Amino acid sequence: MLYGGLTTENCTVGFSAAYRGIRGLTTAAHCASGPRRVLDVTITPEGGALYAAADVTWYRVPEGNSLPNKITTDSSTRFINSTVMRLSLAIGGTYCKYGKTTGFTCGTLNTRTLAPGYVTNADPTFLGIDSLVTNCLPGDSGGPVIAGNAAVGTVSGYANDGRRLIAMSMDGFLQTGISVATS
Amino acid sequence: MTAQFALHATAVCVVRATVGIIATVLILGACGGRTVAGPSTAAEPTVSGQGGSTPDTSAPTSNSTVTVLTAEPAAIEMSMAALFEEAVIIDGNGCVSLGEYGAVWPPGTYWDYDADGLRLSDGALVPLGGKVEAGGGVPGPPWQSFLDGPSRDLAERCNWTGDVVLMSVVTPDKDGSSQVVATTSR
Repeated sequence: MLYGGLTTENCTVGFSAAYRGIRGLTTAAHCASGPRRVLDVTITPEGGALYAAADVTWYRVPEGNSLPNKITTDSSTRFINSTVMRLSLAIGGTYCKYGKTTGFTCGTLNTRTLAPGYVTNADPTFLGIDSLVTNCLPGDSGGPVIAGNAAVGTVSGYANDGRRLIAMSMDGFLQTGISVATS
Repeated sequence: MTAQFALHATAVCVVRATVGIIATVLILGACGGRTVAGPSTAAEPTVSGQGGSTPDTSAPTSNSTVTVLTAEPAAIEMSMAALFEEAVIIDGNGCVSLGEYGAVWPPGTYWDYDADGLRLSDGALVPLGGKVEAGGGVPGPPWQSFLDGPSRDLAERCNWTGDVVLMSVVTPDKDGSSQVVATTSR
């Protein structure tokens, strides 16, 4: 069984998600090309982009592995039952993420219009989620960003010594034709 | 090449032989006719080269230097959050790479010829073959756009066509394969 919040060699798995009708897994596109390992299962990149609104790669998972719509957040599990698009997110609202380095943390959404320089022709659709404590560090990339049981994006980067989490919004999934599993 | 340089290069190769298997592989590729040229004191610049000429990638070149490509500071104000745990190597073009990846190092990183290792911006020394933990990621193309001015002039010699990692933070691996040495020559 594979799902969001598990780890790859150098990043964190985001969500169970479908691409061209096939369910697989996502992580950040900047985690490097080539296959990844999740719980000793080799997964193969097929979709995604590091362009415009997107920093996401979709991976095909070998048959025989179930892909439930859940994520692990350290000791607990959540089932993802909906998604929230970027402009429906509340400035000043609290949003949380899980990453393999900093674990489960929450912060305040202060901007919905970041355009990271490492994304080619970046659209100003990335989220800036700030915290007074460390919110994101290397290894967290690709991890799920959530509000309750709703998916709102995935971890992309950080600034301000890790106190600002930079997240790809659901715009990136929409652009690449990847849909987060909600059932 | 002077006899003094040849002797220096031989000494470097002997030292490298103590590093381990990774370095041994490098010796076969990098010391067989290629010298590690440069001043006998630690290099001042963060990058060094041979005037931008394109090296012959099919065989080791003579009189080549170690090239360290570094990032423009503004390029890492927003950092990707992937984690790479890899060894510092010198590839066939004389470029300092991160394991299997091409590497754009944080500003202030340079090759210390005296210590025969990579000097990080905080003064820590990573010997050839030593492992580091690097935060960053593979940026959208072109990776050359993230380089500082001097590095842009030297990027062509590295001839990287695969993944190139843009690093915002690098620390020596915790296994003790690298060491912090006071920097006095920068």
